[in-house]
Amino acid sequence: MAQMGARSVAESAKRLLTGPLRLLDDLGRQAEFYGRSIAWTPKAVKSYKTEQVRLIAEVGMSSGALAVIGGSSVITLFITLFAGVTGGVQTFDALQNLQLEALGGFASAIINPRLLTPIVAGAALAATVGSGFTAQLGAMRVSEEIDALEVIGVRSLPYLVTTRLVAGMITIIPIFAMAMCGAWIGWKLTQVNFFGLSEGTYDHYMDTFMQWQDVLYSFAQAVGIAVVVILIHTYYGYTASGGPAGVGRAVGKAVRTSLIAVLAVELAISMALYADSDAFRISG
Amino acid sequence: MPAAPRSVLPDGGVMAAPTLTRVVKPIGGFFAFTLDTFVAMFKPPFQWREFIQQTWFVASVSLGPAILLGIPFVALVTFQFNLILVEIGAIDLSGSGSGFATVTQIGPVATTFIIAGASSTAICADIGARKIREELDAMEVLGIDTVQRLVVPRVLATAVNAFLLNGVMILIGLSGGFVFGVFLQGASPGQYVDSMKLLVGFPDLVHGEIRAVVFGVVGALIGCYRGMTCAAGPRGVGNAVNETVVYTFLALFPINILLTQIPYSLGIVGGH
Repeated sequence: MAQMGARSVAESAKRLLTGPLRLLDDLGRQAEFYGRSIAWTPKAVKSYKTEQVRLIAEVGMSSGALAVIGGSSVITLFITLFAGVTGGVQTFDALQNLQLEALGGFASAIINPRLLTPIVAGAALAATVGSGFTAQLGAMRVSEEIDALEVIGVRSLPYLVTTRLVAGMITIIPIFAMAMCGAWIGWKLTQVNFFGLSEGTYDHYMDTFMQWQDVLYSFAQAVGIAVVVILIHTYYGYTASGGPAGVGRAVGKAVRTSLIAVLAVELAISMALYADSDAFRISG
Repeated sequence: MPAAPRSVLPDGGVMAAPTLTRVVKPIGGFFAFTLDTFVAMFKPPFQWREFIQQTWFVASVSLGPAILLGIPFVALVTFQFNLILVEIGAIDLSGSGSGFATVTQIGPVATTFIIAGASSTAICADIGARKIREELDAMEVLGIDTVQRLVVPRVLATAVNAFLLNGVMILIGLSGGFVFGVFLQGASPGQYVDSMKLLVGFPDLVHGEIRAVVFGVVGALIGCYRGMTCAAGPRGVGNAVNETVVYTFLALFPINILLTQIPYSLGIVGGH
């Protein structure tokens, strides 16, 4: 009894010690993967033009069942449109409590570019483009297609990962532009057409408080999100193991990690860009 | 004998039909599956063991991501909101913004993210793996209703978890807002706590919790359905999990609007 107790204590102590080390090991391996795939960018862009163009089309339109319902761009637009409607409903009700519903346009001008679109579009990107990549690369890894690539002398990292990274960075700009329009349209539709706020009032406050820097900054956030999402998802796909079930688990793990990373990156970027005390101006 | 659950699964036959059928057929299948699940939910015997195991499983995959995702989510919103308040000289109202944003939207929406990203993907990967190992077929051969045995406990487990996760999110939201507002942006702690209930009250909390439970049920149903209809081979399971996340997001945002607006229209919440 005592012996067994001692052994289990020793075992759990060992696990306690090796746990953080294993985590560190995994982080190091991820960092190496990310560093290498970024370092390959010039070579990959120069050598794999055809694959690059094909991937850009694929990121925008998706493949398989998702392409049937419009691909990642339409899905992102749909999700941000509904998020915009939700924001419109919720802020209208809150402002009405304070008898300030005329400021709906102000809320739209501030909340959409700074919070709503980056968060929602980031999540949509992770769900559509990112986990699609994990599923693809995981399937390739499990069916030994990646090893086959290496055998025929193609470096799999730039060919599979770096090209996807570049495609994501290029495609995020139009997708994000659509997403932002979607959020604004949804917001205005709700407050002006459903709740009967005067359109002139809405536009006036929207124009007054809209700042071009906000839009620019949120595109900076979008590119940052695209890089992080695609790197994380390709890592989990590229290192998937354990047969078909392992691919499913890898996709789930990648989505969990990247949703957290999306918000962490957004927080970091928005604090860097907006923390300046002059970042928000009521007039001018 | 219970109705054969096999009828809800696509026959896997010729899919040469035009695009419309490819879109409509899975939707119809999903509704039939949902109906089957609700019927099976009230049919004894209830699978307590599976339910408890699944509750633990869903909690173990969602709690960590929920905490890690909740902190930056809340910090991001509070930070921006406080910038506005600092500008108009009302930073002491920081608590009201944080309370309002957390209870009404951040809690349920962050729960959506976790349900879609963590819970339903894990459920789909699990069921999908069983499907391609032909465990589901084996169960049906033994006369076990897979919907009652596997789906019902998972759906209820995710609903319970969504309810609790929303609470965790609100807790993180309010305390995170406190840290940000008070320590970093100069609100006074007493004012923060005092103004917290300016815009929200108990009905809003109940409203948020009900939405979270609905999101949990829908997310788990999508995960189970997509897992049970996944194609064979590694690409099949991967795609199933990928589509689960996408469909869950696609379903949950419209549901969120409906469930947000209806109680306001009926005058159950709002108007303090």
